[in-house]
Amino acid sequence: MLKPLIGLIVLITLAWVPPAQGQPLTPRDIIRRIDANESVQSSVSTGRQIITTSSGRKRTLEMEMYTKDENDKQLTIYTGPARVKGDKILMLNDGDDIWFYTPKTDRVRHLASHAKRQKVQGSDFTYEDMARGKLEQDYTHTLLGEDDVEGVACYHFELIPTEHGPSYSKLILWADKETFATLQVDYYEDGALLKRLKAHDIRSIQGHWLPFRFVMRNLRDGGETVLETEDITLNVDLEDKLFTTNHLKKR
Amino acid sequence: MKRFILMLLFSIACGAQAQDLQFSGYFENQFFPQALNDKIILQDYNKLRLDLSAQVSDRLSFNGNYIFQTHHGANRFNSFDLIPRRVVEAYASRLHVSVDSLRPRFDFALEDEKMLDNAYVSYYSDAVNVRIGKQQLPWGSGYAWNPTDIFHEKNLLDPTYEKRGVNAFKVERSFGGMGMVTGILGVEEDWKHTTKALKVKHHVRGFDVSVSFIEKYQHGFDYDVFQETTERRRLFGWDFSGEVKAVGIWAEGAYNTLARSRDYGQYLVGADYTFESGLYISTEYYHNGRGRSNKAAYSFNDWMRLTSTAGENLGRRYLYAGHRYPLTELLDWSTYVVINLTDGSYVVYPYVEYSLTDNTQLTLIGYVPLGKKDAEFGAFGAGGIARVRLYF
Repeated sequence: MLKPLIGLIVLITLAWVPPAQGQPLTPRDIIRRIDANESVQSSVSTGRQIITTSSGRKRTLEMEMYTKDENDKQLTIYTGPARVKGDKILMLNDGDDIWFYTPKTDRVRHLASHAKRQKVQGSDFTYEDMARGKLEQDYTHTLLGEDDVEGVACYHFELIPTEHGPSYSKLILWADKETFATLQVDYYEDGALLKRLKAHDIRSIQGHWLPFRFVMRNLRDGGETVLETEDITLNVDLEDKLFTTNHLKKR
Repeated sequence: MKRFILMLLFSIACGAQAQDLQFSGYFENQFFPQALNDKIILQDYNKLRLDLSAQVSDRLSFNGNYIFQTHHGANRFNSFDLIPRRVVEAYASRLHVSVDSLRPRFDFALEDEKMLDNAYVSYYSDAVNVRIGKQQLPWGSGYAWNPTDIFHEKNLLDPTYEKRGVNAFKVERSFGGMGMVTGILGVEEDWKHTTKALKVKHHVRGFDVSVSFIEKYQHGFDYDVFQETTERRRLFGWDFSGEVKAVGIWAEGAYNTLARSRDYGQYLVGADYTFESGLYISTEYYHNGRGRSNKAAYSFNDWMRLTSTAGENLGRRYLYAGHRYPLTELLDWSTYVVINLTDGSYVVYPYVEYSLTDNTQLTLIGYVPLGKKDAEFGAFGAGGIARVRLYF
């Protein structure tokens, strides 16, 4: 009675092989793993942006961020300083639709796609930088090989934006071979390197390797913006109505 | 009344104690020199705005602000100095009096202000949102003009500057995720004269689209008979904003029927674009059906509406164009031009915004009018604004 059962277990064990185990990952597999690492079902976080101008002056913005449906929906609420407090940015459809709300006029403005190139609150992040789309959908990718970033072995990709992607001419991306966390992105405009994003303080949270500190350096004008996550909670139950234009006016 | 309002603010603040009660606001100093009658006059004001917000419960909140504003420098004017001499003389002649005898009746002064600007209670539920009190009622998609907005006055020199609050009951009911029906009652002395407004807004294929209806009894002054006027105005409006081939486009229109005056339509179309360099450009064409088709037809009443009420332009056709460019992370430089296509006059506004600190903003606006002296913009002297605002 026991023998057939043991035989069945042995058979099942021998038959089951993890699909990727022992096989090299294709570039598409790697891109999907990077997307999977960065895509969380939902999140609530607090953080700050520290802008350092080319002349060395600093400005600090504090914010709350909410995401849902693997970053398809994003809401940013500025909580400080007083000058921008209450300003809100709603991004839907992976950043294809963006609305800006300011309590000073109680007005909600729909931004056309060209406005995504504008800097957000004077930082070195544009609206399209803040929109976390999917690499597989927003770019065609070419694996350039393997490289290292500050001693960490990385996959090295060239990304060319599709029509759904951002306005840059290309991106060069480095992702950790072990964790698939993005460590560095170079942004090119008309063939020239414009900005460099570096990710630091990467922590494992519920199976995702997430940076708690980004540094975006504008290589053209010398400015720099640090985006720091203070606190983040993943897989929070967020209502859909939070991500509507009608909800932006709620104070 | 003021005491009652302050008590109301205090009682709400006490009710919200230990909850999410927040104070904020700003101090603003604005200095504006202007050429007038071959000399430069200097005006200046100090403005303190105190904001209070209280999250009384998850569904109930209070927001309000009180403004203290003091004027300094030149603060006494005469409307005749702002209107072409030819128009004033024709007006006096029609009344069979001399200009000098009429002149004192057109003196006005900028008075210091202490006022409750916005103060409202908001209630949110899954079905409806209700807001009661003095509040902002932003209608329309236009930048320089808003034909559908008859609640607020808009200053062409600085269209995004905050507007005065409007006393109203507002009820909003959302539908279909991005749709919204808004009903507004602006209480007047009786139901007949109470402002009624209805707006339906939706997001359709990438466009924010809305239609609206407003009935309002509009107050004015007829200088031909020296009498206040009140007239029923019904406005049928629409607007949309979206994009075509990555170019932002918007349009807004209104058809106004009036009980005694002639009906008129107003509409605008606009477009904007941001280049990869960060250069932002925008333009708007505005057709003002209430305006005159040539400058000879500008009446004294028209000029008085222009000088005493923001947003009442004289001509029929206008073009606005502008650009904005971030010179540094802290410094935005813009230039705007508004052309009255009816009389050929135009005005150029250089506009600079600089972030002095996290909470201090410096704004410099120039005002360079060009055109004949009897044309809309040519009638005014050059000037400018230097504004410092400190948020707290």
